[in-house]
Amino acid sequence: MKIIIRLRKIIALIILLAGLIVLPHYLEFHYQDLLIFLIVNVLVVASYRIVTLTGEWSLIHAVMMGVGAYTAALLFKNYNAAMWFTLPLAGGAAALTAALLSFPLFRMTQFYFLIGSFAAGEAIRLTWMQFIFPFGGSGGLSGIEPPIIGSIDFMDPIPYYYLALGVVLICLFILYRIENSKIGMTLHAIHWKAPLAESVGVDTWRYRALAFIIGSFFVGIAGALKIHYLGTITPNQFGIGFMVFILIWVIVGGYKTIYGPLIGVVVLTIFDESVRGFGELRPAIYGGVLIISILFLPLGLESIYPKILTWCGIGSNSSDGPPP
Amino acid sequence: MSILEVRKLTKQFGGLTALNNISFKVKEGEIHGLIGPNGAGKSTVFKNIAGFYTPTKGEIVYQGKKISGNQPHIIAKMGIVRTFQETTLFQEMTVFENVLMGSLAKSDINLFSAILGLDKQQQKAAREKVLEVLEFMGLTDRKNQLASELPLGSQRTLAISIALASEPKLMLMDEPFAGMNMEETNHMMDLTRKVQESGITIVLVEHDMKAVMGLCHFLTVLNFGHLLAEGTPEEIRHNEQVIEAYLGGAK
Amino acid sequence: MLLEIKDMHVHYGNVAALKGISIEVGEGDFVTLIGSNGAGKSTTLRAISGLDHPSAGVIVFDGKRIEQMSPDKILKLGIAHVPEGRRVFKDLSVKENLLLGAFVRNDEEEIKKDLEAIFLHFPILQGRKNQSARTMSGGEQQMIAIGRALMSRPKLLLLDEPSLGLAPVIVQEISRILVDINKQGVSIVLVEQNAELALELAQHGYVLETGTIALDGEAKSLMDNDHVRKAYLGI
Repeated sequence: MKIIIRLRKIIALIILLAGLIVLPHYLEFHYQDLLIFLIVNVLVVASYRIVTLTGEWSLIHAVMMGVGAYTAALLFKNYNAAMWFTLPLAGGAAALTAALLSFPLFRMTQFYFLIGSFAAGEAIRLTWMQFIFPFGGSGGLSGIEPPIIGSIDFMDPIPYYYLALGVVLICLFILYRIENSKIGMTLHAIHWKAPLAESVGVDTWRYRALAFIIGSFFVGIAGALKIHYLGTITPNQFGIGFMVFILIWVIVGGYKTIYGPLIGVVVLTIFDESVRGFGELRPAIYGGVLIISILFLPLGLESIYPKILTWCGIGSNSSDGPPP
Repeated sequence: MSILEVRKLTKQFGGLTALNNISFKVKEGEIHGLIGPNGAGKSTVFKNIAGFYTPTKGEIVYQGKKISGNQPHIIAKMGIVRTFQETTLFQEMTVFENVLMGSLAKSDINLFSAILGLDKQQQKAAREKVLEVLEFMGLTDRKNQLASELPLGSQRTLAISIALASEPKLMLMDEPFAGMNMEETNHMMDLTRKVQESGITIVLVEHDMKAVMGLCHFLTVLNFGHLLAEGTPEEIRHNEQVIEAYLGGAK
Repeated sequence: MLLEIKDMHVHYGNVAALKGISIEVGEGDFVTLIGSNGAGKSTTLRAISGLDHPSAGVIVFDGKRIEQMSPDKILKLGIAHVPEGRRVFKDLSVKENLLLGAFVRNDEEEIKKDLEAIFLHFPILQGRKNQSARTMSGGEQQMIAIGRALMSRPKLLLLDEPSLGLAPVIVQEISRILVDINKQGVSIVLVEQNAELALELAQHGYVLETGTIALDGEAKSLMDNDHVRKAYLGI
């Protein structure tokens, strides 16, 4: 039975991967762009998940993405650094910033942490705005380019998509490994019962900080991936507006499993595109769907999956199935 | 030989003195009872020992070393583990995972071995330890159940199993018998004795006099943050002051 | 009959917590439910006070069907529930906590009288009526919880494990007060893990086992029952 389930999983994964590889060839140019940003946003929410595992929701994730993006942009502009350098260094810079911030921030919990993380993020963002040198002020920087290797110009969406897909898949794999390791389990444990975890020897402060640093590392990479393709960077790309989108993706997708936020970002992005024809009504429709989804699926889109399984009579081990 | 010594412990919250100059010793290998009326300061003593509070005055000495002032996780690593008054478990995890958490908590963080899966040896050892603890505590049959689905008696047993998996030398048990019926109380008494016989010293806060008198080798009685009396269960049972302040006329 | 439960079933999801129990409480009665954890004692109280609704069966209180009523309506009819675990509003004063119990009433003068009556039951609370409940001991918090329930002037008082986690001497005091309250005409349904205490206080007892009533009878006769002695009294 176990082998069959495993086999089924592997086959599903192969189909998904094949789909992701052929997909851009069937899309218009505009959608190819969108697909790249979607793939980057997948990494944004997946990395945010590791932060939220301990039960602390930060409002600084978007800014951390900016830290990565600015690092990549500055390295490229000033030293013409190759992308293979800018990507890990972008992650490293975000992780380092997170490590420094974890000293003041993790003295706070819950609501205070939320507000504290927002304040720290705004302070960083205002620094980018205030300093024309080196950050370009509110106008930001432009002319950041993806690499050209041999005859492949990554300025084209399709090659860049493959590059981004590869990087994101590697990052997702690492995040998945972390969540399913002892570290992930400990983060869950801290979320559920911090005093109990402490009483058996868990240093909750260090684990909270570690989750924040790991999350920031990967969102820093996402920032670099985005900015190399987009070419221009401004402080407003990483403002509270984008942060709210991250929160919405996670909440609508669900945060019980690693798949929830991924489903959220994909479904909502596709949905947002599909109502483009409605013009000014688009934000209203988007908002309406959000409210409906939170009302009727408070546990997120991910909670549909086990329900479907139960309806099909496959996975009837869920406790909220129909009475016999 | 005493494993734990509380020396002139005073704890104040603002103007309120919760503990006033409390001293007592816990002998290694014994079950030591800490009793007294509600609000006498028993839980506060526990929180001071386990590092959740820092004493205002006085100190706590464990195995000859001063430990007060350290954080809970550091004290836990030294071998002191507490269980909680209200049943405190990782409700969303299975019984096995709960105990695994207890056994893994003390080990260091290693990100790379976690990503690359290099800690297989350690994981395997931890899993074996968990199975051993579950067998010892009689929870093997329930190992794949969610903690939240267990009946109360088993939840308490699980709480002790988590503590046990962290390989403590001293266990602080906060009202493990509360709300139990006779049968469950008897079972829990057997388990507590078994834990003690395996070489772990126990400090027990409890109101169930059957359990306290039946289990403890020595008792410390607190009242309004003061030390009221100490002695063997037999001595305490007949102590006039304790009868008046705590035991009442019934027994 | 003040309260009459007939063939009541309660389900949580797929799980049957109560499988057809019938209980009667007359005016002025002191009834106790004993049994193991998970036998359905708390569920019975929750169903009476409207916190859970039965999936089948009838609850009649004072001549009215109440099994589908909301908790606030049931409270107004005269059933007050003191849940397990001394739930008090920790940041409010003792007096404020008690007055919250009279939330459903509008008769200012009568409320004042009742407050005085409660302080007669619990003199220790009167001395500390302006202190916040947080500073009170567990026993005193339990007294506040009972006092608050009395402030709604119930005809029937439901108590869930009032002795839990309390010192023996406090348990004895609260027991005395419960008997007093009962003598003044308030009917009581007491759920207790401490079967010995419960059977001493009550006139009538029901033994619940896995969602059904295994035994019922006069409290004194239950105390002499072999099964009860073995399973619940440990003799």
